[in-house]
Amino acid sequence: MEPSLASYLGLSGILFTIGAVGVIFKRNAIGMFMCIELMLNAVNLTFVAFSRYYGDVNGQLFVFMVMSVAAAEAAVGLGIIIAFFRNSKSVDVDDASLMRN
Amino acid sequence: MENNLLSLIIFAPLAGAVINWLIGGYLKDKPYSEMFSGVVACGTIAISTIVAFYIAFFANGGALRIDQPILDHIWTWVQVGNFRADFGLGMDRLSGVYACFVTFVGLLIHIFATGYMHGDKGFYRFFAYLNLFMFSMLTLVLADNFLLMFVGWEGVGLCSYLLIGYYIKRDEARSAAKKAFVMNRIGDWGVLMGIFLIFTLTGTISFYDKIVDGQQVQSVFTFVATHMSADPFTWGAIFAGGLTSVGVLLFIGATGKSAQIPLLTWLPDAMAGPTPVSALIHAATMVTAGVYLVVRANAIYQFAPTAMWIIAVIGAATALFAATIAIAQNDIKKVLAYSTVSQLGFMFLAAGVGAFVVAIFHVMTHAFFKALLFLGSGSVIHGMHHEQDMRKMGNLRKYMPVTYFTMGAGWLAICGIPIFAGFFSKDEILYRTFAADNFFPQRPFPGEEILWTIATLTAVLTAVYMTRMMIMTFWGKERFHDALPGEEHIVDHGHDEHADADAQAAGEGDEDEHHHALPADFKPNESPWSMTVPLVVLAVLSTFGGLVGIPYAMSSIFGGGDVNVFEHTLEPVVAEESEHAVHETPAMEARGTDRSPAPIAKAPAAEPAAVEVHSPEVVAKERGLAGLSTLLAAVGIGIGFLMFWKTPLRHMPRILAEKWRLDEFYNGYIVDPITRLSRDGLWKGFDLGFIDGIVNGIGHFVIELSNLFRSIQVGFVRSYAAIILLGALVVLGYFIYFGLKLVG
Amino acid sequence: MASTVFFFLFAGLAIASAISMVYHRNPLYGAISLVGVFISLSCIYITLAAPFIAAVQVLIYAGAIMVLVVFVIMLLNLDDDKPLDRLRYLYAVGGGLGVILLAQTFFIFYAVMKAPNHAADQSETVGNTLNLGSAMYTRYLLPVEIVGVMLLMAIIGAVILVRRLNQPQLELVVEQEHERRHEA
Repeated sequence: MEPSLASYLGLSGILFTIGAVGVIFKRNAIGMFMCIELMLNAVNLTFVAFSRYYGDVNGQLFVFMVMSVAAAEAAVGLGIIIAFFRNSKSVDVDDASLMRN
Repeated sequence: MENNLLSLIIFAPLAGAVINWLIGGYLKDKPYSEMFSGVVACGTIAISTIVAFYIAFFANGGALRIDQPILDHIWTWVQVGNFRADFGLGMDRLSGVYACFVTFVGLLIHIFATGYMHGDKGFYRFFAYLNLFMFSMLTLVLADNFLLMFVGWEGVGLCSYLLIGYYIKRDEARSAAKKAFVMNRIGDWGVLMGIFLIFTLTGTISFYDKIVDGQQVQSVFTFVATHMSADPFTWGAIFAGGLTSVGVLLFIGATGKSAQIPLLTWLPDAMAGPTPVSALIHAATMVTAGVYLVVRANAIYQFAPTAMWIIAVIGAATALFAATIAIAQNDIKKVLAYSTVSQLGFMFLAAGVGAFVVAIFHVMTHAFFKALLFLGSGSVIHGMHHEQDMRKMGNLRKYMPVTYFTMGAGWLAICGIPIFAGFFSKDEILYRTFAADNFFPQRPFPGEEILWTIATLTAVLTAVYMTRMMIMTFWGKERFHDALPGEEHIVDHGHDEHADADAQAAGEGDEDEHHHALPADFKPNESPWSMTVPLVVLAVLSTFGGLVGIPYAMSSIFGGGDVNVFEHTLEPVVAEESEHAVHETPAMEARGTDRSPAPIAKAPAAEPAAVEVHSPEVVAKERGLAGLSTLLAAVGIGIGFLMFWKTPLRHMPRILAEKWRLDEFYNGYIVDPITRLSRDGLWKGFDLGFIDGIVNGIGHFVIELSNLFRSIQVGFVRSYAAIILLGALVVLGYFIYFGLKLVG
Repeated sequence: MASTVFFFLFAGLAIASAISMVYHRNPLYGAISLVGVFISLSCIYITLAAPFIAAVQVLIYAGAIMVLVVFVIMLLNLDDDKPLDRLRYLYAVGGGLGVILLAQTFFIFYAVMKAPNHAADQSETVGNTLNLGSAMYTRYLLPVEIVGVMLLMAIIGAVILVRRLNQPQLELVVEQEHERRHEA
């Protein structure tokens, strides 16, 4: 059976779900970040699948953009985490609750 | 006809007020500041006087001699649909007479005040207010429509407040000023309602027929005379919304302004102001504004017999009421204040029985002798170093002869001794009251004998208390240092504290009149010329000023003809009476041409009033009554001497000294309940409780709501992430819902 | 046939690695699992005839981003995640939301299956580099340039975020910030 578009979308959805749940569950900042990257990748898969099944190159182009954004975001996000770690000596995001109330 | 000089009469005092206010304050501490303020103030009033007399007698033939009023349309103030109110002045005979004596007496009082207020720190302010008052009063008198007159009406009320409360540091002055203003305000309601009703009934509020900008403006009074008919003489007419209602409403305003029952208690309290203020405002000018209003609207009143009857009754009652209080007062100014109220009652009595001209005549003579008496008392007070209690005076004729003689002239005038001014006017009033049946529009006049009795009794009492005042002040032995009962021994202060004082070391304002005990070597001295000269002028006027209005009955004694110049001048102002007028005698037609025809000829053209005076039996009655009233005046003076010559300090009944407890009555039944209602009910209950409750409640509600929302901000990133995911799921779910429908 | 096998193989690998990443408390294990996800996804891209994307995926994600992450983990010397002591409710919330999301995923799967679909056109491949390159530099030139600028911003931002100021510089910066705040 040829994997149809639906299977790729299903796979993407499952990966996305795992990533989303992971963001909520994980307390480590780096872990959260990695789950976010997982979600981004799931979306990339969706784009590529559509691009393949509709013969449109735009999907892959957008994946290219997403990837570059993810790279930039990785740089800046990790910078923030390091700066945060310097102040509090822990990367537990639950400690970053200064905005409470 | 137009004459633009009219506006100068009112704008000169206004300019004086502005100049004094702006520049006088700047010059306050310079040595010539008093001279500057005094010259500016008196000078502008002098300009007004000269212009007023010029227009009254000479311009365009003289306003007091020609038929048409002299108008001056300054600018169109309000013109909406049918309603038109201009800032326009008009001098006809009535306002001409008023303008002349108001400016002249005002000028004399201004000159007096420069002497009286010498040394006072707020000199410039005083004269600014005084000029402002003259501006308002002249606007009131010279206005050519009801609305502008009301502007002047309010203006004099305001200036009265400012001037009564001139000594701002004294409690009684401030509360007296407030009381005066509030009571005036209550009356103002009546005037406003009256003006509204007049407009509703007639469609105009102008006094004169005139053409403005090519548009014909009709006078209220010609409209009333031609289109409306007399109201019935019943109580119901008061509430019917017709001319009687108008009359009653306007009279309510007049009671407020002229201190009649029930709004009279402010006038005695107003004596807390400086004496020139009392003389000008509360004797000669402002309080007569009510009489002016009634006489100006006489066309309305002649069709509103119930209103006239009410005016007459209240006038008589007030006259008697005030006279009974006056004989028990010990403060010289209070005696004169109640005397003013009483005399105003006479004027309203005259207006009420239909003798409008006589009412104005009494206004004029009263202005002369009451201003004289007040200024004289001011001179006495000044000489006594601001001691106002008569029980501490006595034998002042030795020390202040000019004051003594001039006040004597005023005393005789007010008592009604022949030749003096008061005699003619008061006697006319008494006669007209007695014979009211003949003059009242809807005859007969019920209760005229009672009113005449009351008026006569009041005249006797007037003589008694004025005599008492003269005795206590000018004759007898000196009581300067007698301690009054109940007064502890007051330490003597320095002698030179008052008259020329500048700032006191003790920090007391020298703007107020203190009652210090008099030093042991105190001798009162005569006042300076600036104060005595006006007194002399007024004394001359009080003595001879009544001769312009000699009624025919008197002048015919000496073979003279009808020389009642005053009456002739004012006749056109008094509209035609209704057809019930007594027929004229043919002799009328042959009279001199100096009498102007009445503007509206309904009955055969003549003035019934003048007609009456000339028939023989009427003349005899009048002479008889005149003799009677002279006799009663003499009796009154005699009683006064009898009671008080030996015992000047004789105690009068306490109820009279306490003003029949009228103030306490008002306070108890009207003022206090309203104060309580305002404070506890409206302020605490409504404003603080309800409105603030709503406003604060909204605030609290918002705070609580935001607290509720704030609980979402937990501060934990993961919770935020969860909520974001939730939101995303909702959006997805929305699309899925529609997808479900699509797919089936 | 082969494509199906490959698809299920790599899909299974991806899901297993993803679950492993979420499960492990040690961040390093998580990182390695994530690399596994990336590699599986890259293989899937190849089965989808997107060679360029597959290569770039390995290059950038696995090669650059994950390396960076691992560096940071090593630099910060992170310990394992500690057991949960607050916000226990988030477990339930997260689980619930995940279930809902899964349901929605399955619905999408079902809907797309039902929809008339066309098989992939095997002859036409759009994912080759020539196609992508010409599209990038003709139609989408502006976004590419912007991406370049954005990367520049990211670099500068990262540098500024993590620099340690020595004391004089620190005082200068603090002073400037005070002025800025007080004059505003």
